[in-house]
Amino acid sequence: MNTNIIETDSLTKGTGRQMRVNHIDLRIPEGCVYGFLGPNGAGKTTTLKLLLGLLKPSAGTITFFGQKMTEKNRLSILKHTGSLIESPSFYGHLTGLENMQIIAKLKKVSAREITNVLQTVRLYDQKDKKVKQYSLGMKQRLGIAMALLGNPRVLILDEPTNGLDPAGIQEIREFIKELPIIRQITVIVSSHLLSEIEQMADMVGIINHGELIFQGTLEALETKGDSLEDAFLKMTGGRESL
Amino acid sequence: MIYYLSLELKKTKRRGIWLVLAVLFLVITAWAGRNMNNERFLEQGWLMALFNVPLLNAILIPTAIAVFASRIIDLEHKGNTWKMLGTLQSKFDIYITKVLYGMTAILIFSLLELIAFLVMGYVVGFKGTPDLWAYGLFFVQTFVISFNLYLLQMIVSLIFSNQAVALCTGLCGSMAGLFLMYVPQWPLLRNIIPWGHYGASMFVGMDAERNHINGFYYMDQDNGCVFFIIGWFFLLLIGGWFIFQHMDTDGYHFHLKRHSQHGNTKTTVSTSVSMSHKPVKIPHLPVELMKIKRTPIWIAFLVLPLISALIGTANYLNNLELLKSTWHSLWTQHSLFFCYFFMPPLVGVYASYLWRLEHNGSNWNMVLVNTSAWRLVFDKIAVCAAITSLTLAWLCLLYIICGLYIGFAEPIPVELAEWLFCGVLGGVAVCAIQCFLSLVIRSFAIPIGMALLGGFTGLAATAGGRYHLLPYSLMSMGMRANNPNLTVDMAVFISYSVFFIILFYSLSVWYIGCHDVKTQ
Repeated sequence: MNTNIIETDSLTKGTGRQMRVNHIDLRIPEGCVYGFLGPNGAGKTTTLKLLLGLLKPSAGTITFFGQKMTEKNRLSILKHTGSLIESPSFYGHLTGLENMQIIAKLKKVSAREITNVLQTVRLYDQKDKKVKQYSLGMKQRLGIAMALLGNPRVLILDEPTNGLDPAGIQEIREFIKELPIIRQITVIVSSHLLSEIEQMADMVGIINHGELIFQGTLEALETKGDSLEDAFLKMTGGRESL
Repeated sequence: MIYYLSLELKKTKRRGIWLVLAVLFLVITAWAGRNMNNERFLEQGWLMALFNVPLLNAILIPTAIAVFASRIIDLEHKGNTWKMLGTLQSKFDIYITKVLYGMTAILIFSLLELIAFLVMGYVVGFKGTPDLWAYGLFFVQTFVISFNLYLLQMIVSLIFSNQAVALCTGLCGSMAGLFLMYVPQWPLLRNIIPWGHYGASMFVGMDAERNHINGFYYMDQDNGCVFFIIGWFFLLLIGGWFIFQHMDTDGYHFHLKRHSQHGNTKTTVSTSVSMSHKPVKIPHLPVELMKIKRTPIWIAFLVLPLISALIGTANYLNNLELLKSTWHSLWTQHSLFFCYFFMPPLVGVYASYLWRLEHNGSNWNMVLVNTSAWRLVFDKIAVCAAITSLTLAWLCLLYIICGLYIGFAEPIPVELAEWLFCGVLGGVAVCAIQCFLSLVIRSFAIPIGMALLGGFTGLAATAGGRYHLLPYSLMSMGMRANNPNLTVDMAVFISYSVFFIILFYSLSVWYIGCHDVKTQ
């Protein structure tokens, strides 16, 4: 856990009063689960979209695997990532399997892997159903399956447990925890739920009003207040934001 | 009710809905105004306007109404609001509000059209005074017929959340309606479809012999058109309500209930999820083709040229004494309206559909992480171009079949290959501009309306000898739609087509490159 797999230097989006992300310096070590925490509208999704080059930063740089990300090498870097941002992306008129086939083609992955991932997220039995008939939780699983396809080195998941039932949440949580150990995948997972991050993450970054107000290990966070929750609430401006 | 209507107005804020009708109005008046300053018009202007405007209406209003209705209904599909509305308003209120909203808009439009022509007549200085009864009748006809079309489009847009279906229905219908205006031998056909009513309800005739117009006269309306219009009105209004009432709100959209399976839902559910146990494979198809699986686009692709061919041939057979040069005059019958007024919006439907796949939900996030902009735009234009070429080739094939059926003495013209080549090249240019428009404008219907406008402007550009300045006229000129005897300067033609293709391709790549992704 000594090298950083992703670093950002004063990453900024927006100008003046409309600062969505304000000079953020992320340090994400390889092989960890990095919990990205913040109240609703704090700038979590914006930051993750910036990491993927979906938004153009107003200022600052992003470094992936020791390489500075530019418009030119963006896709070759992103080949080693898997992501699920906002809500899952899918073509509703196609079946789950057909959606996966499209992603597999784009990522140039073999058909065997599709079966693998679909079984991992336990969607294999539903693969021949149109995605628009899926429940919210199933769509979310499909989104996670798409992100996992191609054995990425970094997995970026934006609130992955949205819409899942308690059993599903538990399952995904255990699964994420295992990823660095079994598959050597670094995971960045965002959430507005402290309890969720607490159970999965090794490292935590807390963002509020577009600014990174804490970055470090869970243990370090605990020393900031009586309890984790207390520390989190103190930093994010108390209970008003939750 | 007024309250609900004002709500509806609020919902459609910033949707450019009124713009659709405003543009339609401007185009009709501009087009009519352009042709009004010659001698003949001053003599008989009041009657001549009544003769010409129904044709303009028949070409332009149906597609504009399809766009308009689709805009109003699609905002509920997209915003996933049906399930919320269903808990706040009674179904009848939802339905009648949408109906009244469209009615108000069309009423205003028809009134404006009436006033515009009266004002124009006085300004240009038509001889005599307008027959107010005639103009009143014209107003009522425009209003009622357009309103019927609105109802029909509204219902189709409601049933199929995929707006391609509604737009294709509108295009096919208006194509048929327009053609039937030129087949007076079968008056009944015009009456049967609501798009044909513009032609069927005309009450001014033209007295003309070969390129010379003697005058205009009132004619008797004895084809029973009124009854068909009224019949359609009640059928659509009540039928629409009946369908709407019996639809289930199913997540994102309404869908028709299936009563027959009601008793044994359990069993059907378990069988419908039946899983194939074949090993998973990745098909050897381009990604973009995999994405358009199970789409209804091919229906329009088959039907629209078919309508053009059938009615074109029938019209040709009926006018044998007027038309001479066999294969060539048959070609004009087949291709003229199709290439100018229907092919551009049809390409628009293809392009809009392709980009809508990515505009939906948060698909942009996934697509741009996995594909580069230049590749993505290239694929989209390529697929669009492939469908467009197939459509044009299908038109040519139908032409040959119809020609063989008629039994011309001469062989099939070899120039056809050149026409098709030029048409396809110009068609790809249209694909490029439509793909760009549909990429930038996230609405499904607006780019299609712009394509119709483009085709119309293309006609004006061709008339002015500057066909190469618009992709739309490049396509129709390439197909030699207005005159198969024309020769085209190939160097100019090819260089302008390639220029447009590269221009709009680069613009699209540039647009994706320097704009942040927008997800719904």
